[in-house]
Amino acid sequence: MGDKNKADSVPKASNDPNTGSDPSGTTIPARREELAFGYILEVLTQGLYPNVFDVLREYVQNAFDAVDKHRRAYRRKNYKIKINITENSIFIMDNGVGMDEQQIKQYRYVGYSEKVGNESAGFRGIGKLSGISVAENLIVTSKTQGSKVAHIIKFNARKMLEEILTLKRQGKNRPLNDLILDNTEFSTMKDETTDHYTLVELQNVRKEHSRLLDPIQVAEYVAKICPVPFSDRFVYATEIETELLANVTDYFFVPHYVQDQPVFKPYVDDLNKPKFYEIEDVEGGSLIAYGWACKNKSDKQLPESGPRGLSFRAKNISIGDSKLARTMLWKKNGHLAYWFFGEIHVIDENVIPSSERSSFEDNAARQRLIDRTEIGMINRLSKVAQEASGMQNAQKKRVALRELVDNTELSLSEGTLPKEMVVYEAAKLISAVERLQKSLRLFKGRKKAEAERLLERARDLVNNLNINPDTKQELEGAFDIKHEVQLSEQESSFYDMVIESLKEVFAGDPDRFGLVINKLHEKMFEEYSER
Amino acid sequence: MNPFTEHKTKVRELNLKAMQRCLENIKGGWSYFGLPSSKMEDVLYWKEFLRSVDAVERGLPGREWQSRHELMLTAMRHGIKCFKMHAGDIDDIMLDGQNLSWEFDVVNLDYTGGITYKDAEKHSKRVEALRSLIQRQAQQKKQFFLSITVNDRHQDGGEIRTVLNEMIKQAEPGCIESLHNAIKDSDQRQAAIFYICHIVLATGQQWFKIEMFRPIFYTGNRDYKMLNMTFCFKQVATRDAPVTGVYDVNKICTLTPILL
Repeated sequence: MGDKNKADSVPKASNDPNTGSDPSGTTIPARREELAFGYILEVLTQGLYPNVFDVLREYVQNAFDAVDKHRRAYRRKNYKIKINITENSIFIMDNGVGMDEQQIKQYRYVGYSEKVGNESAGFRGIGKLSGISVAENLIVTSKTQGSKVAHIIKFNARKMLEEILTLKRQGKNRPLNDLILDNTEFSTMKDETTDHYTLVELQNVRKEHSRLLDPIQVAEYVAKICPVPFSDRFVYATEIETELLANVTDYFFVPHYVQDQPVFKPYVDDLNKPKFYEIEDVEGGSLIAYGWACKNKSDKQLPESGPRGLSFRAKNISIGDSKLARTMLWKKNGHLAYWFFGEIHVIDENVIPSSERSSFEDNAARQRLIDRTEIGMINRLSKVAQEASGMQNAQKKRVALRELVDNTELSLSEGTLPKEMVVYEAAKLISAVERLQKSLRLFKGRKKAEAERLLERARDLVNNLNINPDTKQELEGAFDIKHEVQLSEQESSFYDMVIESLKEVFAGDPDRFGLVINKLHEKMFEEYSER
Repeated sequence: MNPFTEHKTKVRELNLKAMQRCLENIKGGWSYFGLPSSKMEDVLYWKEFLRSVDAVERGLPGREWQSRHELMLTAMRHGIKCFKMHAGDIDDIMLDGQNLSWEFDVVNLDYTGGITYKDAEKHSKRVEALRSLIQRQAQQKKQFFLSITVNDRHQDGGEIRTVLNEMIKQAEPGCIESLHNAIKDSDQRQAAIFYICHIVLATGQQWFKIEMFRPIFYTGNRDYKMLNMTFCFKQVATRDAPVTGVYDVNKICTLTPILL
């Protein structure tokens, strides 16, 4: 190790909150953020991250930005973001651009970031300290290309937060910079290799955040949220990747590893080929987003247990989850969202992710994104799903009608259809015919011809059934209980009266009426068959 | 390259040859347990042969975080597979087990000091830890390679001399002379060879057939006189229960050190 520059040994920041001077020699312009007081650290680090994995995302996002910056400058390949967990610590490492001495000293300033707007995945200068909320120490080592030393900064997070809480109890406060300067230390490490990197360690993660130390949960989170590649096993991976590279400005992914295992985006088998959607600010205008979606091969929602729906990505980092896209974009027929699996890559730099990246800041650009995505993608997807859903319903209707026709014809041929039920069977057939007729336009070719033949058969049967009540002709095949059990004239009159009453009681429920009739006939057979 | 670095590289090269001979029947790489220090030069030298690394790092008092952070930095930069870091004193870890599997193929105890440091109660934690390691590996019936590196600056409270005098009683004439010379020699590394062999053989021979490789003498940092010793512990198929720890002292006398 080289020289150690403990913060204890350097002069304190000026008490004049307007100077903004840095005792370690770095000249930082006076910024309003630096005048913030200690409590803000507690709020920023604890209040901002309801989900502990969001802390991890902040560092992965910074790692991604560092890699992206190096890639733009040097056009190299072989970039990696590695996450390792050992004992009570989690480490995030990238081989990106790294930080020099001045930059690593600036690391202490809350809200200070050289990143600009949407050029980078992270840009607020807050997330870099998020580790303070989950671990006892935050340690960052970084080296830039060509440098002979790596710079190390250590934040004693536990001490810092303890001090804030003590001051709070006493009704006191102190400038944030002083607090940070008192609890950070710098050192350097000789490193004459050509490597360039940043390693962040969240050391001694607190028990209540121990989920961060579970490699399985970490890998799942990284797979869903981070800019990782598609798996080679996803059949459409190359096709989608090629389209995204061609259409999404600065689209980029970095291989991520958790405990040395590569992590890929989740995917679903049994999908139709992807379709791609250009979302423009106005018709023929510039691209504000680019989407792709694959429909479930089965005409229904994808299973809840796996990935489904569309998700937003900005700089290839996930914003919210598929529920966000569903609520933002599918104003009607939200259930159709889960028929698809896909992504919407936001290109418009005015669409700004919220700080916790669960949504977007509410502004005109966001509204335009919603409106234009509805027109350019969602409406088309809805149409596809509705047509598929309609086809699926039509198929069900066809099957239902065929079963009804088959059963009615069978009971007529076997002589088991009670006369009392004829009118109801006819009504059921008429209703089923009407339902299928409405969906007939959805059938094409051979299936359409089959459906038309079925309708013809059903109509013939209805006509046949309707002959009986209108013409009083004997319906061939219908079963007459009065005749079968040889009811007397008086018994027949009584039977007719009972049937009329039952028809009134079970009006609109022919199935239950049928059950009662069958039961009645059974009893009558038992009672009168000996005659 | 300074002489120390050059010597260490040679030691690692010789160790590797011994390891390959000892562990030739193990396929898919070796599991490593040891004290690689934050630069992990031994692990990096043997990297292509290792399938996992369990590294122990104690760190400097007050700055423990730094050595561990640097150790992980090295591991992640060099893509060391299945790397696990254990914070603390390696002797404590070998003594209490710490829920490790103790099925390591390579154990590299690259100590910064001597082989024994007696505490106020005349106990040597390091020696007890070494015995514990061998027992734990034996319980798993695990063949393994052990490398021990020490300097000659032990604080043994006269124990090494006592042990060597006991060994003299079982030695043949030629060996007796070697033992006497080792006791008298101002360079205590020869005595350390006898002492380390005694601990390793007396403990390990209960369960294992132990092959001893030639010790290596070299000059360390600040001109410390360094000793590297390596052993191959092979399972004895017919030995389910430990047998009395009897070994042939005279075999130790045949070990002639390699001088770097």
